[in-house]
Amino acid sequence: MSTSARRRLLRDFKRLQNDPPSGVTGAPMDTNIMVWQAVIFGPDDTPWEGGTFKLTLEFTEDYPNKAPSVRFLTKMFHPNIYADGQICLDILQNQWSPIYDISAILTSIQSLLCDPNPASPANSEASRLFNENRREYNRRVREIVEQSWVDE
Amino acid sequence: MPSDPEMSAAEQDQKTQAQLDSIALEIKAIQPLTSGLISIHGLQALFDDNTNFKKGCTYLSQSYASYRAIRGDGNCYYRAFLYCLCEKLFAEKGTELKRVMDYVKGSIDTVVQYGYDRFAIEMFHEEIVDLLEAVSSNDDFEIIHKMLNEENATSDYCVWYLRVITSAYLKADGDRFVHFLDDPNYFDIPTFCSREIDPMGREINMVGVLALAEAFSVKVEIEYLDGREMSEGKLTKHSFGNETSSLVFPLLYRPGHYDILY
Repeated sequence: MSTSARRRLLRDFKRLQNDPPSGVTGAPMDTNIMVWQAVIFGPDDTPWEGGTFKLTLEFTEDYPNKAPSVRFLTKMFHPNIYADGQICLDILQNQWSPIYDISAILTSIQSLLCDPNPASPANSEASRLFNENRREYNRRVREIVEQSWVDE
Repeated sequence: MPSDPEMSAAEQDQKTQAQLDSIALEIKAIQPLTSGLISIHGLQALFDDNTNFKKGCTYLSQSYASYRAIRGDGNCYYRAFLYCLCEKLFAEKGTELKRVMDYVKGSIDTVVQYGYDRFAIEMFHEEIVDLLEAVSSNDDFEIIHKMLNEENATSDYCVWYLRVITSAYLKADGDRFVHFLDDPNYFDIPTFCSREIDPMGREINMVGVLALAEAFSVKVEIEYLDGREMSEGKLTKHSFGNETSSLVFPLLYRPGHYDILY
């Protein structure tokens, strides 16, 4: 069995510990390095501020040639996040490249929070409110932020 | 909520992805990364009679004995290039091997100047250096052939590193290469590289072929079996890179695919 995926995941983990990017954390499960839990903190000075959003990342032996499957466990309200927590983000789909390690994946998702991509709506209501009624959109985001504390 | 349009979009998206995944799995199951040698006559059987393709095969069978099929996963050009590189350097084991080894070893310092993170690419760089060292130290090419056919290992890692080298080479001379972009979606080299060269599984195009051949200073020679009318009974043939190099990589192009010719 190939161990290159595991080797790379260990490197990713070391890097996250030694050079942690701001606003995201992640670690493999105790029993399985192929499944990771991560938390993205809502960026300051945005409606997402204060939120703690949990995700899982599942890797296959094809990593890093194939992207992991990434899903929010916390309920989200965002134009590019599906109801089941899956994320519509180019680097996790057709723009994947092995250049992205776990730090890069998590920081990309973090920046997607405040900077949605209107070209690929995954949640039509969030998308509509983001474009047409930013005030209401921000209110719904604040609700999600508050809910994220309860979900602990 | 079956009537919710957002669910149907999500389902559609997942369905498409599932279809793509199953096609990729099927290709993986039936095609090795790099096959053994196949008689050139085997190509004939793939095409209908009286087509330009069939006529092209007749020409090929007069000039070549066999071909090596490369997996059709969008990485075929890079994979064919990698295989040829190993095979030719294995046969040479002299100044060219040393030159390419020195170039590859030093390449990591160059590519990090073009926006690649050393940490993320170090492992791939080590892999290609190890591969070239194996080429240098082994007496049996079968060992290298096996390394290049291991799934999720050497071949994929080195293919990706070749993508990085291609991107960095294009970016280093963006003003020149921007004129070669034949895709109307792209106006600048960095965007082109991030969308078409860096991701795995993206097919190469002309500008990439040129850049990789030049980066390694080798000669890539491509026979185009593309269904076009032949002239003087021959296929169109182009060469890229260093015209005078002793390392010549003869490739066969079919629409959307590259194999190696012998």
